[in-house]
Amino acid sequence: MTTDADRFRSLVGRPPAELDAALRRGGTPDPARLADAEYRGANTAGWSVRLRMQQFVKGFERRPDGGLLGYNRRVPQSGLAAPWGPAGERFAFFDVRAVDPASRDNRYLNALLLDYGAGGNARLDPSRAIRDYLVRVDDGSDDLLLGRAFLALGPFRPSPTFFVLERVH
Amino acid sequence: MPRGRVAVVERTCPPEIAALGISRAVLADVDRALAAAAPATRLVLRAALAAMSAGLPVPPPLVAAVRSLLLTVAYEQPEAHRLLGYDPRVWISATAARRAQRWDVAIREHAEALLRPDPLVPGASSSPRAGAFTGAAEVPGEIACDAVVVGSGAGGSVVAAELAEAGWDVVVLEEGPHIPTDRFSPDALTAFRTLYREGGLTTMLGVPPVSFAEGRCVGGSTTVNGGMAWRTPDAVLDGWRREHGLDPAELEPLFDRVERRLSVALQDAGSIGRDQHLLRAGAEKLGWAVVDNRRAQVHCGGCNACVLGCPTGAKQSALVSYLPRAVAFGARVVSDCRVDRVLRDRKRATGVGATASDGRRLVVRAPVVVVAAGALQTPHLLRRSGFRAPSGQLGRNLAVHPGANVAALFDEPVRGWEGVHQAYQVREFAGDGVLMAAVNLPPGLVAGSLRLDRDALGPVMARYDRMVSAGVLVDDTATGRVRSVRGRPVVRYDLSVADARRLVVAVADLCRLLLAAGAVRVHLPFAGAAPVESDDDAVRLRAREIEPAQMGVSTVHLMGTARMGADPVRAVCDLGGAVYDAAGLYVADASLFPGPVGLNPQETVMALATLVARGLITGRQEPA
Repeated sequence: MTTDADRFRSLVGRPPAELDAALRRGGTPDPARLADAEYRGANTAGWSVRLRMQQFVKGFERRPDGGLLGYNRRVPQSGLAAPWGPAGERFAFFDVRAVDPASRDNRYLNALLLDYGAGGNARLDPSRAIRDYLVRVDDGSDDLLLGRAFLALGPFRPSPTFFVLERVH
Repeated sequence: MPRGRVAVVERTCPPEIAALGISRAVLADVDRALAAAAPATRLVLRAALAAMSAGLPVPPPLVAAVRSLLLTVAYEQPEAHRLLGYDPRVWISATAARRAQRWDVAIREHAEALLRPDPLVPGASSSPRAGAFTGAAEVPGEIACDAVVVGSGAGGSVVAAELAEAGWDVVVLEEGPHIPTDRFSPDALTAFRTLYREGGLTTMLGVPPVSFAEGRCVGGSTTVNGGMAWRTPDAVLDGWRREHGLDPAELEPLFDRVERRLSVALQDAGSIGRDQHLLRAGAEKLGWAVVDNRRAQVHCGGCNACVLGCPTGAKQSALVSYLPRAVAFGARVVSDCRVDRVLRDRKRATGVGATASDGRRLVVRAPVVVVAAGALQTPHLLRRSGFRAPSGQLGRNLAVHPGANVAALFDEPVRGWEGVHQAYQVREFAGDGVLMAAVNLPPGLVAGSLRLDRDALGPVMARYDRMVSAGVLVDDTATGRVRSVRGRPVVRYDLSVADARRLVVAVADLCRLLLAAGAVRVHLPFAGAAPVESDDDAVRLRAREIEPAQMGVSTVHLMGTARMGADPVRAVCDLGGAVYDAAGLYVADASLFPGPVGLNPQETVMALATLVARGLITGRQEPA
């Protein structure tokens, strides 16, 4: 039987065109079901392995106003097959919201947008340029998610990597 | 050889037509017809005619196109009609009077039922309120509404009526004119010029060049079609479910609803003409399956003017069914107004920009834009407005149901114009995607399509009153593509070798049927092919290889260029008609078809448009 962990690793190894198609097909995650959840995450791009930035943890929590906020945590780069080591401090915060078709960041209308520019990060924190899109891999389930990161550089939006998230708790 | 335009007409027409002294009238009508054509068509045909007039060499395909145009126009002159003994006006008047007298109660009851509330979504019904049919000149330069619908044909009219009934403020923009029933003319040239896109002179690029026709008037193609109303075949729906995720069970109640609205029924006895009886007799003699046609009609008397605009209102085109209903629930139907662009704020549609026929600019702002401009104009409009489906399929997958017509001559009088446009369909080969029917065409269209030289054409046309025009269509395996070139949609469609083969076989089989019905000769739509006069000829034709380039192919069914499906990587629109990767933008016409439907598409279009409307109504209680 294929587990979510197997599928997680399988997704990380897929070519970008397939991942883009999966992003197009994916359903919008339910923000209510993301709140207070943490996911183990992996970037798919080869550079992330070389720069020891492939593995990370992404978490979500409710804001006092009812909206959703998220964060990242560093983890030891132990490889996808090994158990993950302890996660570090929270950093690179982001606001979570539906994609606005009329905004500049509207690449995947079926996704949630993780907007690091609105996450309250320090003014000179380079993470402020990140814009992630997040969709479900499976209908009705928020256990396995697929994302794609973009950088907001003026009018340009280069995409350094896709990433996959699997719910930890 | 004498030169000049008149000489070209006289050289092209059979001697008995040339002798009528109508050449100058023909040329005047040709000029009028070309004035309605697309600029490129006009330029090319005028240049070809000028070159032929000057005795200069002209490529054979252009000579054929000019010849077809001249013959079509010549045989639609009153003098030519008199020569052929063809006077449809007498028949139309008598039929209309009989119908009005015999069915006045039923006609009134249907008209009343048409305006009665019947909410698509429970609880989402409003009281009737006054909308209007208006010309573009009568509306302000900027309008705001809940939904703007582009196109007033089978798709647009349905969406407009359903949304209006649910209380939405709806504006429908139609490029063509609003010509009410009492202003339809039985004169074919007038009808082509006023009701058809580019005067009916529309052809796809490809081998062979497929001529096609679509309505460009209030009511769209429903105003000029035969009114056939068939549900999508189960086998087609099953394929759409498997391949594209469309649930047939969703459509079932919507077919019921559409049929109720259109009074879909079989023809009354007495409305069916001799050409139809002969088709049926031939099929029965061969033991072939033949079915009675279901048509959108209220006691149609069979005046056979469907393609020129039904002069009695019996045919339930959108013009006399869904659009009056939409207007009764407050919709505004604006004619003579071509939508140039869907306005957008990045990926959100915000309305449309349009140009009235007098050149005035209009803007209609709405949070919901429904494009129902047909399978050629819809992808063109979306593309030029900057919407690009991520699947890359916008404008692709064009299916056309390529068709070919024959002219069968009988010894007995047929008078094919006396009786309903189409009463039966031969379904014997439906499993192979082939449909056969008899469809009477005005003499001009027959003359223009027959591939005979002038000396052979005259005697054949002289027997127009003993002729059965019949045709086949196949559900195509090839697909075409709509591109946008210099602000206009350009269609490329090449008949596949397999479909060409199926057309030859189908035409041969149709010849057998017509011979069985008593035809003495059947003229073929294949260049250089001798007419079929016996079963042996038909058998030989069946085995013959005919190049696509030698075929006269036409269509009135265009589908599939913004196909719907559950997978955004393969489709352009989702299963509710929403354009993928856009917000507030919907398609509701035959562009949505995931593939060819295999028969007359109107009811499928209307059911899908109802589906789109239902999704909008249930998805909103506020349209933004």
